Amino acid sequence: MNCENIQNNINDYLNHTLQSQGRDSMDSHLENCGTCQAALAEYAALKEQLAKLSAPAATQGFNARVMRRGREQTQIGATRLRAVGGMLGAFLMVIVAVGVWNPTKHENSTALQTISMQVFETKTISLAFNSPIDMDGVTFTLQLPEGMELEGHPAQTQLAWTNNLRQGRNIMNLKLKGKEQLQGELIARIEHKGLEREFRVSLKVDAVNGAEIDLPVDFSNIS
Amino acid sequence: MANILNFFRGNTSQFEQILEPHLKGLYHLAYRFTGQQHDAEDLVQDLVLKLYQKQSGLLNAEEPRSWLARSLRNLYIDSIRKENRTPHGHLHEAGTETLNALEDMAHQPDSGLARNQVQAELISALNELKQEQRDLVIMHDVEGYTLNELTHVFDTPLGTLKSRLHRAHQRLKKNLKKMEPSANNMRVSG
Repeated sequence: MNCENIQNNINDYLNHTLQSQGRDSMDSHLENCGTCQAALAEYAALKEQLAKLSAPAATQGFNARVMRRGREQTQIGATRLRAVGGMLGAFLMVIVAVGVWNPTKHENSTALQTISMQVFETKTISLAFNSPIDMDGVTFTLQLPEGMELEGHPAQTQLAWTNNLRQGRNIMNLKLKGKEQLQGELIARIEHKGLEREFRVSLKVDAVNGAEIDLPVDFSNIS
Repeated sequence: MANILNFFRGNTSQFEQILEPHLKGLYHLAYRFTGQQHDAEDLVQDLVLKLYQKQSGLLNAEEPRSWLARSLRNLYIDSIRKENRTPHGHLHEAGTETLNALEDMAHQPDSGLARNQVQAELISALNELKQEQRDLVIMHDVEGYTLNELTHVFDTPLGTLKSRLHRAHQRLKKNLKKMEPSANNMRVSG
C-alpha cells in the first residue's frame, strides 16, 4: 500500500471494518511512515471530536407527546373513514380491503369476504390495494367463475392488463353481473418484477330477479 | 366495514413498537440537521404524523433505523426547499481552535471553555460543507450510522459512499485549517 491508499482507508481502519489482510498491510506501512502516522492521528482526533459534539436533550415528555399526537391523528382518520363507509353503503357498493402488498416479499393467496348478489344484478366491487411504494408496470389478472361477467367484457372469464400502482391506496372498481345462479371465486392477481400476490373473493349469485344497473367500467381508477 | 377499517389503520401496536425506540435517535439527527431544539422536535413530530398515516412503510422496512433516518432527511430537505431557506442553522461563532487543538484535546480531559470553542470551530467547519457531505459526516461520525446503513439512507453504493466520506473529511480538515490565520490574528490583536 502507498500513502494515498493508506489515507483513503483510514476511516475503515479506525472503524475496524478492514479485512485482516488490509489491516496488517496498513499496520506495517504505518510503522515506517511518519506522514501516515500523522494523518492517522489527525483523523482520529477529528473523529473523536465529531463524536463528542453535544446536542441538548429533547424537552420533557417529547416521546410520549409525539406518539400521542400520532395516535390522535389516526383516530381522526378512522372516524372519517367510518363516515365514508356509511356513504358508500348508501350506494350499495361493496368494498373489499385486500391488505398491504409488500413487493419485497413473496406473497401467497389471501382469502377475503363473500359477496352476495342476485342473478342479473350488477354490483360494484372495489378492491383497495395499499402499496408501500410506487410500482410501474404491474400486471393485473382477473379470473371470474363461469356465469359471472365483468361489465364491458362479455363472455370473458379471464382478463389481464398492465397498469401502475402508486404508493398508498389504489382502488380497482369492478362491475360484476351474475348471469346465472352460482357460487365461485373472483381471483385477482397482481405481479411485479417476478413477485406475485393473489386475492380471492367468494361470490354467491342467488336466483332472484334484480334490476340491472348499467354503469361503465373504468380501469383508470387503478392509478 | 371492519375489514376496511383495520386495513387502513394497520397494526398500530406493532407499528409503535418499531417506531418508539428510534424517537430519541431521530430527535438527535433532526437536531443535527436543524440546529434548534424546537425545530428538531417539530421535524420529528411531522415525520411521525406522516408515518402514522402510512404505517405500512415502516412495518415493511427491512432496516427500520436507516429507513427512518432516510425518511427524516428527505422530510428535512423537502422542508428547506419549501421554505427556501439555508439549511443547517447551527452555531456559526468563529472559534479559535484548530486541528492541532483537536489533537491535543483528544489526549486531555475535557475543559469546559476549550471544549466549547473546539465544538464551535468544528460546527463552523461542518457548516461550510455541501449539504450531502455534511449530512454524511454527521450521520456517520456524529450519530454513529454505519456506512452500510448509510447506503440505504443515501441510496448510494458502499464504495461511492466511502469515497464521498473521504472527500468530506478532507474538505472538513481544510475548512478547519483555513480558520488558523484568523485565529492567529485574533490572538495578536487581543
